[in-house]
Amino acid sequence: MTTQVQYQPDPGTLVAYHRALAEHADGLKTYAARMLGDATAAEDVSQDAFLALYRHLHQVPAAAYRPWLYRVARNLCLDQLRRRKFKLSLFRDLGGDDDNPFTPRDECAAPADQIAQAREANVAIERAIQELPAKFRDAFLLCEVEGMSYEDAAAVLGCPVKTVSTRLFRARQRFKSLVSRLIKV
Amino acid sequence: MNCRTSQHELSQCLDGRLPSGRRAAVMEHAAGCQQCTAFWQELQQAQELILRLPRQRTGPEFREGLWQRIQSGEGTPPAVFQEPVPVATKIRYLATGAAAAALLLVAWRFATRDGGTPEQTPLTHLPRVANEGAGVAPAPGRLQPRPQPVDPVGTVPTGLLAAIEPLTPNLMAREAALQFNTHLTSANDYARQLQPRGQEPVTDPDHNARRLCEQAGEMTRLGRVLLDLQAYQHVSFSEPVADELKLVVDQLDERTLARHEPAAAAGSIVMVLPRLRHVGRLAEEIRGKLSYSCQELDVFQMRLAKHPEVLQLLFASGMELGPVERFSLSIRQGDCGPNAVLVAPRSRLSILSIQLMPKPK
Repeated sequence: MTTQVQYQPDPGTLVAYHRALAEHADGLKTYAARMLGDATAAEDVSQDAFLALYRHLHQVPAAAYRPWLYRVARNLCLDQLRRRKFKLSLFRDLGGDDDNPFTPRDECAAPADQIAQAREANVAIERAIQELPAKFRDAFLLCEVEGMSYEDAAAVLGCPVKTVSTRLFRARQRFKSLVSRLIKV
Repeated sequence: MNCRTSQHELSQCLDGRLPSGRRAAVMEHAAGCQQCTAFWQELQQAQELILRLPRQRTGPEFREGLWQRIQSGEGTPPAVFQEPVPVATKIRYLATGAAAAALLLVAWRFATRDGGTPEQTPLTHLPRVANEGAGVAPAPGRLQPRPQPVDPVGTVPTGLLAAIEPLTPNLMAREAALQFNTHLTSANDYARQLQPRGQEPVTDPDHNARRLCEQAGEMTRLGRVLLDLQAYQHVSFSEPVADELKLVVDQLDERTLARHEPAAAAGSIVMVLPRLRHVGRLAEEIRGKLSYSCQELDVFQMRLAKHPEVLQLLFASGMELGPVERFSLSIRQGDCGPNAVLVAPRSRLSILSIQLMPKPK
């Protein structure tokens, strides 16, 4: 049983909320998209997470917005996956599918063969991420991809900081071997 | 230093997690080890690949859609707080004797509902405790139970088992905070009774002084529970509130007060009460975690099992059921939160909260 409380945040809290929206919306959607393999569903999950944060602004300190949002997004994604038994076809959406355009980091115009090469590399990288064992992938997505601190990742995953460090190390070992042909040493 | 340790620490170096001295040692090892040098370079290159991955973008329609949902009053999506529970943990909870005993208890209640008298049915004892004047005297110094909207005397509480879940620090803290505030209100009332009003003598000063000391004692015990929960980072409240709780625990310690006559002890308490300006907001202000990991609940429940006096403090004993199978059970009721807390101290993770709901008519 829950009761919905119409909460009016104070101006300071509202400013912090807007800042969080500006700073974390894209990252949250990217994270959710990798969890679900669907950019549209990821946008819904991100919006749900921010909506939940708004409803609980009186409970969550501003410094904890980011891990709180990611933890909520993770719960929502896992719930969807449980209900839909979704098969991840991540690289289809994030590898540069024309139906679902994304914004590449480097927006300078490049020759077509380079774009194709980059796209192929991205598909391989995304596939490698998906092949990581689930626990390692969780830590990898949060720390390596989203740049989260060990402490924040530990708060999202509900495990100790040392566990995050170990899982991240193992994820990096595994990932490195999966993308070895893309790494020239 | 072996390569396995070195490589783990190189991974931490990448995130700036190693102190400079340790980092220097790791880099020195890596410089002299071909395997670790290659590992370090591959780590950095792999990270470069990740940084080049495209990111999703949210457009203006994302914000517009979000504000529309906020303004329409849309509530929190239900799955927000649904933490995934490992299968092994679910099996463990289901297999605990407490859960089985709780189901036995409910089955027993429904089986005896029509034939048994309310006095004999365990769960009817709960609303009797909850109804003022229903014949169950609270223990000395304890709160009057909060009346519940149930049928009058003799009617079986038409309860449906709504949820069985582990007792959480959050729930305990809310209970403690609510009881603390109630005792504080009572203490202030007794303190006012002890103040002379003009020419009129104070009415029954000895009785009021003793009651005041009892309230202070309860506040101290509850204050310790709350500060303990805060120390373990299970709950949080503001610094002024924490300071006042510490003041209560230090100054109104029952062993200190017990050394004095009630009147003198009451005098000390009366000096402290006006300094408690923020702690009255405790019940509204206290914040618990949204969810607890299995490890946190394990630790919490093991500590609680070692300190049964805390449960006795917070949840007035409603019914001791005695041994049921391998467990001794009691159902205890608090003033808020669940209707009952089931305690089966001989089994692990068996301190559960049970929420009962009236049957729909």
